[in-house]
Amino acid sequence: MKVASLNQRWRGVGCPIALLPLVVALFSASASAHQLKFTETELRWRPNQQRLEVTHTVHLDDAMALLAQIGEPAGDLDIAAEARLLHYVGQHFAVGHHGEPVELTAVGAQIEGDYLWIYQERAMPVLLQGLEVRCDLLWDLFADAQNQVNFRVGDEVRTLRFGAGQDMGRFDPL
Amino acid sequence: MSKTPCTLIVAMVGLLTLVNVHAAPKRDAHLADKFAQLGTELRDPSDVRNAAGAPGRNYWQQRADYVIKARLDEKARRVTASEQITYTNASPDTLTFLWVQLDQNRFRKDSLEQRSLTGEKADDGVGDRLSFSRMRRHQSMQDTSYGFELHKVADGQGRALDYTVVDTMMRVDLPRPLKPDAKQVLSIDWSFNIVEEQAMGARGGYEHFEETDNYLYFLAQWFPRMAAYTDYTSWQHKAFLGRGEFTLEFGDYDVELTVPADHVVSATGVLTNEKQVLNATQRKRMEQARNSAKPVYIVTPQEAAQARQEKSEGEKTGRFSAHNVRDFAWASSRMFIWDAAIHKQQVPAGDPAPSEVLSMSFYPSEAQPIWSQYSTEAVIHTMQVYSRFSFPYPYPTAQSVNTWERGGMEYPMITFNGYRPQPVKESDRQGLVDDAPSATYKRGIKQSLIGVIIHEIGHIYFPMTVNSDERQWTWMDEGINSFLQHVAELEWEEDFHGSYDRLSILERIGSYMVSERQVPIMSQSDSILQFGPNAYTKPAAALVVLRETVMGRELFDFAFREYSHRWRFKRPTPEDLFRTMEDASGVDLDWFWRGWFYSTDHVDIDLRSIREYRVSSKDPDVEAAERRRLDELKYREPIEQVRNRESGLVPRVERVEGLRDFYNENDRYTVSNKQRNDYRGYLDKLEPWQKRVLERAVADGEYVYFIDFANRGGLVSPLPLHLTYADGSEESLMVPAEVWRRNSEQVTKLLIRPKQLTAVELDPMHQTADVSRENNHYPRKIMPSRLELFKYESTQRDLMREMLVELKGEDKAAEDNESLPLKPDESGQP
Repeated sequence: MKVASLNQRWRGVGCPIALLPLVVALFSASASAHQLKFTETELRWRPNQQRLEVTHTVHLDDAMALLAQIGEPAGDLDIAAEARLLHYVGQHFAVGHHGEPVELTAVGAQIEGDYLWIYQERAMPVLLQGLEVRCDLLWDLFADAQNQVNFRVGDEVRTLRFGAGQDMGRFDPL
Repeated sequence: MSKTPCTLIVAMVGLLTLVNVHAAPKRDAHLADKFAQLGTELRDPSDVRNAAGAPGRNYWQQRADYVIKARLDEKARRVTASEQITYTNASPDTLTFLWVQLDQNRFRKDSLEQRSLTGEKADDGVGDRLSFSRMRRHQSMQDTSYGFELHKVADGQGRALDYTVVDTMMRVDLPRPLKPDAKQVLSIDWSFNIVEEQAMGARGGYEHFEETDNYLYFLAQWFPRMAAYTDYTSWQHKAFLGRGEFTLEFGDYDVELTVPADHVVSATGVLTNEKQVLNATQRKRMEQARNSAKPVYIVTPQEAAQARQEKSEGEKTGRFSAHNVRDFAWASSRMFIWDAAIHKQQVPAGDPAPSEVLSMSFYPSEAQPIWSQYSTEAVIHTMQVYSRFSFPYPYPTAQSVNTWERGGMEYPMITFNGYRPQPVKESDRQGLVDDAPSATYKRGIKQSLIGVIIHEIGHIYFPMTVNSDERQWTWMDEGINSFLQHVAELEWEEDFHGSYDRLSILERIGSYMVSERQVPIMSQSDSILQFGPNAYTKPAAALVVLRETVMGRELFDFAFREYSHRWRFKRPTPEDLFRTMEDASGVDLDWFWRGWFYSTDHVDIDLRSIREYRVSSKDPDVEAAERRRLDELKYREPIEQVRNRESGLVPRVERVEGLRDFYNENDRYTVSNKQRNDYRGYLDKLEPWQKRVLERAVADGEYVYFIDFANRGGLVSPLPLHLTYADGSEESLMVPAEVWRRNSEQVTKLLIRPKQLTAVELDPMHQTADVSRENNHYPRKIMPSRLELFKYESTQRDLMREMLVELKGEDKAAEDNESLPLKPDESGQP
């Protein structure tokens, strides 16, 4: 199992390059017509709270594979499982600004309805334009996984898509 | 007759705060007229598909009948088979070659899919990565050669035919052109090594159970199948890359499957030689099942467990017959537990559907206990719900087979479904009650199992019977089926998707629909960027809105049934659905298809402001007092003046004599004689009928509201409104989408009501897929975010496992030492 620091460094200026030839995926991609192999993340800046809220959403059909990987195949989200999920998200999702990491604080995770929800947040008194995102959620589970990240401020939305080797993006100004 | 327009003079009695909103960009602003009829977007009607959306007078489709003999070699994990295809050319075209699908070729090392795989990045985003699963797949392909091995391709007389394999397709050249209405027989012998499904990622293969060294085989896309030839795209022979599924031709299947003697086989069709395949006990139980609405075991869990240990050496051959199906799949294992029940259905006279459907489930013990409890029940439930929306279930059997841990896949009469409970590890048994079961499951696993069975059995209707083309328009079967799955889930259990309304299909689709750079639903399958939301969820959400909000259940259900009946055992295109829904309902839906299926707009209606008025009598003696009252409501005495008075300051005019005059005794609300004369003059000019209207309006004293809406998302939507009045009473009303027909960006709705409004909510039932609820209330409401809600909610628990935990010592002691129950004294007395 690859060990990575919880404080995943933003890939940017001065970031050391770690070459790890083999990464362990405990779960292999099971074929099924109805796995979406898709994650959806919303970054929402809430001016009144001066906060950036990050919500990751994974359909249970996909999340079961992720939960199996972190050792919770029954989908029991105790506090340890939540921590493992947030650790996973920390490894596979990062936000930056001008090449510097924008650290996110773990809030929690829950299964509700057909979805797994994972939450992060950070204080953001002023809207940072041009946020950069690195995202490869579920890529270790599904070779053809895709991700959508929306940055939402009021009615306005900017979208980044990740997949097929493309794991970096920068939001257009809102 | 007077040409003077009658204008009711209204006096503003209260202006609620205007909310300052900035304009959001419209993504499809170029679609200026959102109510324009769909013209060039639709394929022209023809003799094959008419303008009503029904099959035309010259409708045609090809036909392919199959006779197959196959043998499963368990030791080699290999299938060897031969088939005879009788292909009928019902098209008006003469064909010089035929295309045959060879889906197993997807697993060849040199397949288009393999050659076009891309590398992966490491977690740090810089380094490269090779995942275990990718390496497992590579090793599996190194160890075993996959893909079809063709031994013979010949005509009906055994004469070899020239053929060319192009990845997952094969062109068979005909010695003589195949004319309209003529038949061509193809005789093909082949074999292939079965893939390990978990290693290769497939829709079929085998699963190895290491503990007892047993195998579960599930074989789909396993025989050379005729490619579809259609009026809209001729041969559908785009290479199979693993995602876009397929469309096929209907035909009859006669299939002999030779398997190890102790295997239980589930297959498309009806087993026609029960006597040779089942033992006397199994046949007796089958008779019971044919008379039982509740599932009966044909193979019990104990018998399946025993078979795992005692592997037989011999073989047996089951013969399956299927009429008018578009494919054939099967599963075989000695590990199967097998249960069956009968589903009786109402079939109108002359309808070819059977009145009884044998509903069956096959699963290894790893799937217990949820499979024996839920699988066959879910199969029957699906038929009951789907048949109400379409036609009686068209085949004599409906089967659900557990072939993997999660997910599902559909074939005629047989579905491969996932979801197994989590075994309780020995190390976890400590602290559980003695008779704790060997597996527990979370609610999500159970719901996923029921959901996937509904979805896959539902696919037997769409597209296995209403044969839409999934490689062309995935949404036509996945979207329609996801919609009906949603209907069936809510009819299975309330709160099926969890107990929060925000988790409904209409809540979830919003975050996808607001995103940038989408493609419309009406995109060719290979061009879809986000497959799941685009092909499954968004069309399903659209149909929920159509049924619940736009058309209403009665009109929608009638029109949808009509579509299903028109295209049963036929091949519809999107135009046929769009046209039929309008044709049968009389509702113009072009704006709906345009918005939901041809654009990437979303629904976000902003209830911007409300202005309240009452009809003025214009009588100055009546209106002056009212104007004073309203001004007092609207404006406040200047704070400086209030504080002056409070501090005891006496104004100069009060302190100094001789400064007061007429204007200190009369203010602007004092009625003058000139005003009274003006009023009389106004009345004199009114026509008699205008006078009557004014008198009545004044007497009624109704409130007049101008409610402003702005369309921020671009997609026009009906406006369901909930009105709350000052007296506490409430009213709901639905403003149809046509309110936007002249201006699709902003609109003002006029309401006249006898009572005063205090609040208005737009879309209170969350039935329009409005993505932003912050702007749906007047006056505005603060909406907590999901993350904020999460902070206040407890996380989900495995209730079942918690209930199994032993009672703690002190609780047991309390049970032993029984005494009267005491409760805290709430009287407050000592």
